[in-house]
Amino acid sequence: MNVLHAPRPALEGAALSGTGHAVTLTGITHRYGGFVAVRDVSLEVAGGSLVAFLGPSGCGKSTLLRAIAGFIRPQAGSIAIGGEVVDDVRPNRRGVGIVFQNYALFPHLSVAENVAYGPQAQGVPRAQVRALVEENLRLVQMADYAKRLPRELSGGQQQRVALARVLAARPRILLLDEPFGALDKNLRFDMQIEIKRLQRELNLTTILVTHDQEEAMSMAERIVVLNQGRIEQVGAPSDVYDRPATLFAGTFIGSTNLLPARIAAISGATTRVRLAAGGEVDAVAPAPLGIGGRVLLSVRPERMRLVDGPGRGRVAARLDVSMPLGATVVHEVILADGLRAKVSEPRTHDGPAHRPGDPVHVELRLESGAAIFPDGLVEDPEQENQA
Amino acid sequence: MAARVTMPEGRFMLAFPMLLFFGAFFVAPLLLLVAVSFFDDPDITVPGLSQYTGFLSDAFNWRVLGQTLLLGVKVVACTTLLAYPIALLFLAAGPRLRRVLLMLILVPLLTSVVVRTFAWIVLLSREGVVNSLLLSLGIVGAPVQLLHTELGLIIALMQIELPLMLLPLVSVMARLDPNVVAASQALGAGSWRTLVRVILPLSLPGYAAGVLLVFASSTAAFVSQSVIGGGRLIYMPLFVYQQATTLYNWPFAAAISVILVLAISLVAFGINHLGRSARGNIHG
Ligand SMILES: Nc1ncnc2c1ncn2[C@@H]1O[C@H](COP(=O)(O)OP(=O)(O)OP(=O)(O)O)[C@@H](O)[C@H]1O
Ligand SMILES: [Mg+2]
Repeated sequence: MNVLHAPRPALEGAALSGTGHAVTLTGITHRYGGFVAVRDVSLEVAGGSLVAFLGPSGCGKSTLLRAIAGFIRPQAGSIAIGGEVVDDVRPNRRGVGIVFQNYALFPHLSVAENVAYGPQAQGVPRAQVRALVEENLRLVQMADYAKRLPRELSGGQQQRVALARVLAARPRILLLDEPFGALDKNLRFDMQIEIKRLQRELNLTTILVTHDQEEAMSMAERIVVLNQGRIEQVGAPSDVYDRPATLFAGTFIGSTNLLPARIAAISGATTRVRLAAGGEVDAVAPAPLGIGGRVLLSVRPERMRLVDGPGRGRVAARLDVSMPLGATVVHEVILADGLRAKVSEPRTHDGPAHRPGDPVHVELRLESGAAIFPDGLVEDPEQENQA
Repeated sequence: MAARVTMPEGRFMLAFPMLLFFGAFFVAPLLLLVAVSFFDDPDITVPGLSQYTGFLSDAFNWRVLGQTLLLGVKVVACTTLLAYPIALLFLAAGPRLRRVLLMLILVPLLTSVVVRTFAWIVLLSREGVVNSLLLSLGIVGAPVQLLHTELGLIIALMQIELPLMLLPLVSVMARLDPNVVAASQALGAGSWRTLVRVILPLSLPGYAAGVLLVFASSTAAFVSQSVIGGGRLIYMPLFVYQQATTLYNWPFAAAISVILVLAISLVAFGINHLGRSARGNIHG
């Protein structure tokens, strides 16, 4: 085994070594021509953890993965794996496994040959290669397809082969670029659990790129929210959900209502704001703001409910429509200032308490604190309170 | 539904002028050629197989045929050695360099083969550029005879046929998914393994097309063969020409032509077959 640059874990070592390798990004900037795809990204991914990169299309998620795998060399910054700087290490010596967004299976090789490719390239003895192929194909439930060519498989099957192929190479770091995109709901769930189990078992540092915030929330220990090549927030899923650091993080993850308000008073960590639609509530400001300043209060639909009478923390509104969505009902209400807001409540068996057109009050339940952000970031007032 | 039924007919009508052209200027002359080859006398009066039996029974004819096919093989081999590095450079290049390379590949095609052939006479002559270069570099002590030799002919054909090899090869390289190459590296394969196990197999369909074009074109390159090869090197096209215009033996000329066409078709069929089985792999 080559131990010079990036030792691949030895056959026995992979499953036993309890030392996940950390990934450290320091000031990574990458441009394509003049276009800055990744901007000064610094991030520490703890060894053995599963981190999700979450962000809209084109925000630089794949570019970051390509930089970590070594396919592109960022114009600025440095990457370390397991404490060792790998900027000058070629991709085949980094021990980084990657599942591409488009799978990138070898079209001329059979499923089994695809999976065998990594171990063969690393000089694993033939008998062990065969065992690895069998084991990993069984893992992704593709053992029956070993002799097929990739083009004879469905998209989801190709995706699973891509997973088996990367796992058979026993990487130090696993990069998954939307690896479950083509799978149906049940299979996706199975694979998510399987990956999570494997990642735990092997203590394999994993970076998962996804558009799907639920996937990020359920699988990842930490979520990295990216926007336009920049990190908006890094935190545990519940942190990012409950305490978004930026307006973008708040609106991209989960759905939220953005209610225009002004700062009424500040006492310690809590800030009292007066809503444009009437009423005052206490909230948490991620950044210091001055009294009287215009802000947007971000309130998740499930942090609101419909009530009958006025009171503290309540806002007058009119119910527009109610939509039952499985276990919950989503109400759309029109607030006193004319803006629309979504309210999500558990569905009860009693039937609806309010009918469309009814005057209602919306109660904001902000125990865990709603976040407020300086106003003026959102250009279009129509979209302000529904992101 | 109606549109579905009429569409194929419409398409057939569109292809009709082409079929007419193809029939009048390719199929008909070819049939005529085949018909003429089955006459025993130069005046085309006695039908018979004597042209073919005559061709096949003379060792000289076999040697000409063999040398012609061998010339094709040699030119194919040389263009392969030249074309693959360029194609790999194209694969590694960014979009801007790719455009430049494509330009460089296409420019020679814009000048006629005759012009390029005569340019090579200047380059290959005793006082030509190639010899002065070899002399000034001290590689040879005296000018080398290149004109009217097979070596000179192969050098010239290599340049003349190179675009035919490069175009299909570069086109498969352009379609090759860069992630597939990246995947090979990420799985631990070095450049050499990636080349041999991924890039070369995936470029095979384009290579087969290039081989086909270069082989067919260089074995039939009458102008280059006769101008650079001169009268001492006899290949099938020149052989046909001599029989037809100098000896007025049209049936024998026709028979040689038919044999050349058959030989090239046979090789083409084999290459095409290989290429097809490889092509299935690239459109995954
Ligand atoms: N080879 C390239 N040349 C030029 N621009 C590129 C190239 N690759 C990516 N980009 C640009 O860089 C930005 C980031 O691309 P990237 O592929 O990292 O996005 P992403 O976050 O993975 O998006 P998605 O979720 O759609 O896959 C995009 O705006 C894209 O247009
Ligand atoms: Mg992407």
